[in-house]
Amino acid sequence: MTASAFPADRRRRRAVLAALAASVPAALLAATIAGSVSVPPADVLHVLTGGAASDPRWQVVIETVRLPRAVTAALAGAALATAGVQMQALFRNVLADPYVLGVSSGASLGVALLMLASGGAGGAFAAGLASFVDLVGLGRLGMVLAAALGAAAVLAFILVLARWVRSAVTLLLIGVMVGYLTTALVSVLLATADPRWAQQYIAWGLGSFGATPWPDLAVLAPVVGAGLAIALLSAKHLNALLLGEDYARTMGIRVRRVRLGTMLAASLLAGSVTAFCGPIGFLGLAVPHLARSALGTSDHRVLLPAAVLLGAAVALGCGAVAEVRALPLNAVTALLGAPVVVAVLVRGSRAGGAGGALR
Amino acid sequence: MTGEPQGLVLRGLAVGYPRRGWRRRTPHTVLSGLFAHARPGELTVLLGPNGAGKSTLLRTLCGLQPPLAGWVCLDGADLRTMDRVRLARSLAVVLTERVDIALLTVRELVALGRHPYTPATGRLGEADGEVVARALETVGAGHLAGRRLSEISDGERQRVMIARALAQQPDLVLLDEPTAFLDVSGRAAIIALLGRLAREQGLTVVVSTHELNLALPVADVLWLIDRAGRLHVGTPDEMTRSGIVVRALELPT
Repeated sequence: MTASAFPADRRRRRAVLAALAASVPAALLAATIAGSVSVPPADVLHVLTGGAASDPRWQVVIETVRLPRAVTAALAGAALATAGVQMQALFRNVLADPYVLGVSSGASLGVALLMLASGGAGGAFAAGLASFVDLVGLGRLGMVLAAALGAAAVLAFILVLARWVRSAVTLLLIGVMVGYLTTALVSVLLATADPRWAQQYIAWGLGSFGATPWPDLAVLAPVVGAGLAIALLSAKHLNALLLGEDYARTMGIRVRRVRLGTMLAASLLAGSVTAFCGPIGFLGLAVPHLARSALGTSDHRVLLPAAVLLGAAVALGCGAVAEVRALPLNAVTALLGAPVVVAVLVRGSRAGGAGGALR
Repeated sequence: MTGEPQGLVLRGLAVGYPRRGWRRRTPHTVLSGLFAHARPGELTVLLGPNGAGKSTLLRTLCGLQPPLAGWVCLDGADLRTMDRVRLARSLAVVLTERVDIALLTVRELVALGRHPYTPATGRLGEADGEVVARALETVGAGHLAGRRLSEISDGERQRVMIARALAQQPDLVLLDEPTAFLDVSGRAAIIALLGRLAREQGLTVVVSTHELNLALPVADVLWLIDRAGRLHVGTPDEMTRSGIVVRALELPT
């Protein structure tokens, strides 16, 4: 007998991975069919397989609206779920997710600073940001840039702290506090902002997969791809971290380097998605737990690929539901995610302490 | 290597916490001037009152914190100059930290010990599987291999953690209070297991414990830290006869 799994366990894992791999194209198809205008599924299939739709209008709808939206959802779901697995492994905490790093609040801060600048009341930094954004053209792209810069700034701050702070829990709490701080700053800025911008900010803050045309995807896809590659290659190190940093160190792990690399990858994943889609809650928190329960293991060598696939499928599903019912995306992810997290916590406390059970 | 003493050697070792940050100017020394030798094939038991610095010493011995002065040598090599992987293949630990990962089988947990040997993908080969199985058999936990960690008792969990350390195929195993949280029979079984590991596998085993009564019959050598921070080394016989044990641990006479 080889490896560390019993044949029965291994069969279950292969079956789960195969089912997940099959569910992603199915979800992609469903998400492309779903929408405010009804397009015949047969036409969707035709276009997806390289053919032409029976009506040129549908062709346009599918190619320029539905497909980019579905691809964005798949990328965002995979990215957020993977970043969630990474954060939960790093902080050894079931409630860790990409946003504890302050990535989303950093992104919000960037967007709010941009609004302040455009309102003309800003300081030197905001004015500089505004002129830079003017250069590349105000509007959506400016928002995206500001969000990415804000996320990167908060992340750089946390990464600098990570060099001195040894304890992951302390780092987690610092991340939460930085989140509060930036949220407070955003409220202050919102109060003084141009209403036009405030409106755009609120729209971004609702979260959406539908605002990324192909040129945006040409940026998002490689960034997410790079982040996923780093994550999948780090499975062995994340496994060693399951036992805690001291055990990991005695097994030959360079803990700081692994922590830095993991945070960098997670922020690439979560930061880029937040910049393009707005803050999307619960996918990063709930999908890793769902993947663990389905697989029955915390082994990152299977958990990471499963989270990539399940994240994509769940995000596509949530996106489709939000589209058909015209609901805010974050409401759908919360309706799905919050009960999952509660179930995890209840089961965890039954098994003796919320911290341990589902790592 | 013939001239070098085998096993774990402490030479003028001082342990404690180095200066860190901008406020703490001087290092905080917990124990200093330590000389001792733990030999392969022997069970060395580290005894001392609470707060005497047993954990700090063990953390230094396994490389988790640097010595403030002196040397720790393993089979003649300075611990500080050994590279990470070689160190991980020579030395394994069982720490006090409670490991509680519900969704991991016993076999998977023990397999984590193969980390210093597996390729970058973490893939376990045939040989790794055999090492894991053998480690589980050695601690008498072969029948638990397929169980989840949430389904085994505290005593079983401690055996499994020892098996994980053995899966690293070390020369030296360091254990920090492995008998804490166990019932009396569980404690005796773990101490006896450690004695067997040392003698049958030729390992250097250093274990810290409060369990004087259980340790005395099984230990080959005692390292005894008294309240003044002095380290006394000797066989259980010598130390009990000279009365050092009673004085150092302030036992009622």
